[in-house]
Amino acid sequence: MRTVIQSAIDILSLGSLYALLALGVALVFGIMRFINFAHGELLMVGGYSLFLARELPFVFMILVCIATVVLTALLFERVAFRPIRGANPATQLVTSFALSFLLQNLAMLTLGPRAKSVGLPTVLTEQFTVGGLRIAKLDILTVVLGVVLMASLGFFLKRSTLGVQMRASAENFEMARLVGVKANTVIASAFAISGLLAASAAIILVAKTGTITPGLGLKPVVIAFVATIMGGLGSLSGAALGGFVLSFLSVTLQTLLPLDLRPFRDAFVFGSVVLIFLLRPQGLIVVRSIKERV
Amino acid sequence: MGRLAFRRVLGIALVASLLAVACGGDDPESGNADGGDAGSTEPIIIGAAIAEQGWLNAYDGPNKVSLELAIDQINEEGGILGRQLEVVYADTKSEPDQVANAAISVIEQGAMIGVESCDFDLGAPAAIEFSNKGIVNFSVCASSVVFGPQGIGPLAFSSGNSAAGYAAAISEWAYQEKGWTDAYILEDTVLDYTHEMCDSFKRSWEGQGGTIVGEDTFQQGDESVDAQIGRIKALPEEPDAIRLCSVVPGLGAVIRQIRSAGITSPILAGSESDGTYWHEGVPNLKDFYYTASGSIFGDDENADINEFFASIEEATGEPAADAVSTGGYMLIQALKIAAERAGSIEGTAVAAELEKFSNEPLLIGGTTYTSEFHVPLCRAPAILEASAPGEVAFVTRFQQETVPLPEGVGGGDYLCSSEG
Repeated sequence: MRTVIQSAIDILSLGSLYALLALGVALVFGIMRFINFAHGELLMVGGYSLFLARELPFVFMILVCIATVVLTALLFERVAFRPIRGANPATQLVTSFALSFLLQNLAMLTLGPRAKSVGLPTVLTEQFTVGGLRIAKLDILTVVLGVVLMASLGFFLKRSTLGVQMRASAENFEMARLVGVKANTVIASAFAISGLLAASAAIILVAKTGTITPGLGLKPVVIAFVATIMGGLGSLSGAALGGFVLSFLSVTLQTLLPLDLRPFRDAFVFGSVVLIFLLRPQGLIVVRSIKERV
Repeated sequence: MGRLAFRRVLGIALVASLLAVACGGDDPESGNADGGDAGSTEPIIIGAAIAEQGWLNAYDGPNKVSLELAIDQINEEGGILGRQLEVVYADTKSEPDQVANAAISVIEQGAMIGVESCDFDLGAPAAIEFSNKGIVNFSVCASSVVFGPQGIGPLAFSSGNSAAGYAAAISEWAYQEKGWTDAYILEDTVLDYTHEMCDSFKRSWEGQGGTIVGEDTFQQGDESVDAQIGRIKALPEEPDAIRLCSVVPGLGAVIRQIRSAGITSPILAGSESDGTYWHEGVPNLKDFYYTASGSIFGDDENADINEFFASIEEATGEPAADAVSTGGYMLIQALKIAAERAGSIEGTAVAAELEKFSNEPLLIGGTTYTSEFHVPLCRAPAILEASAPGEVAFVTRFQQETVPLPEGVGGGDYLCSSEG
């Protein structure tokens, strides 16, 4: 029983991180209709900004990280994606790949191929035990941050004017523009929020692992991509749910698989994802605006 | 000339030049391995197909510095066989598909001796190209036991210690000197190298009578190893030692999480954890022991090693990041000895002399190559201890006795006493 509860804690913590990653990708997809593969590089930029600001007090490190990542996300939108808005989705996808490679190589060139490390306070990663269960403070922070950011995002989208405009744009971009929604503002806002989510994920990731490499964002972006698709393209709650499902699969398989099969854990995780797609090709949560209208 | 005619001419020229390149590449006569006449005074050209960009540059870059240091020293002393050394480079960019081309490029620049990257996967394609041309060649620090006759060919050698030798040394030291008996194995599945190290460690540990109380795997890049930590925590008592087979950056991330979880068992690792550049991310680093070719901290018992790293610092203006760079230096040392004994730099003649190396004193210690193994299996590594971030000290140089060989070379144990 204790193992089950312990695993549930691990799933919740990792799932919150995955959900933050997936939401950043899903938000941009909702409006732009393409998966931004350079989202992982926002995490990388966040990681390196923490490294470069490592001499500053912790709070300032966090602020520098958030500001840098949000600005980078806005720069992505302005420099790389705005000029090709309305182009073939494949063009946009390839642009995001190119941007991703460019930034990784730029990081390697300027900061070197060796991993950099940042000593975020270990008080974050310290663990305490309650009834035989080990809980890390960082896990609590991750879950709280995940819940707060998801709730605020939900509130923002439902209650604020900009949020309503974003939802309208996600539903039908052309129609939204016709009734006066400013495309540039809405899209830039979506990128800024996805930047904020990426910065949060980067801080959690670096607090957990302490290391930063040019390839930092590679695996997270694949996780975010799969979670977004599995959750149901265009659905934010679906993307978050997808993140939790992936975390559930990953932690459960790591715990249950016999030693010989454990090296192939990810094969089982993504095998299960394929199975989910076979059963629910439309994703876990279906969004009306994405459905083909016959 | 009409546009069509021009295109046709251009097409024919293109095909012709492609054919010329293709034929040139296959022509065994275009090799430089005969190295000129025995009495030649022409410079000996060392061709290095290594990574000057990309992730592997972290290892190849420092070896380039030490290679040039050795070349300068040898040239000052009169060169090899009275001939000066020159080095030419081609960048593999750390891309597997660029490696063979880089080797061909340095061969075309006249390379008579080949040098390749510090990794089997990124070194082997170049080693094969050099070997095909009859050129004796060295990886600066590939640690796979099959780097040589089994995996490439008789002309390929590695200047670095073997992963299996490192694994045996830390296992025997921990068991015999520290008296630890219960070990836990945590293996990163990222590379064959990490698997080879854990496999050799396990067999060495059990061979001595130690107990493996548990094993687990993780993947480089895992955001969290909570599930793995849960399994260690579930043991009736903490193991005497945890053998962690991983590479930076995942290595640091896992140590950070293990220590944060309150697990205090000493952690044992290999040469991939050398250097302090990753320590800042692990403020709770403690009781961490690892093997390396030598200590970069100026406290090695071998004064030559301390002097070597001081020279590296002088050459680059900054302290060495880790000890892998000894490989580039030693390969020139080995080449000088073997070529002067052979009286030639011809590939098979030099290789034959290298295979006769028995405890040949190179920079980091006695080096033995055999006709079967072209990676030193029994060269004693340094054991180092990190007691806190940035605080590393030389503990001892430990001579391993029995090296468990990987399955790739038929398994079994290699006895260091057999080297005499």
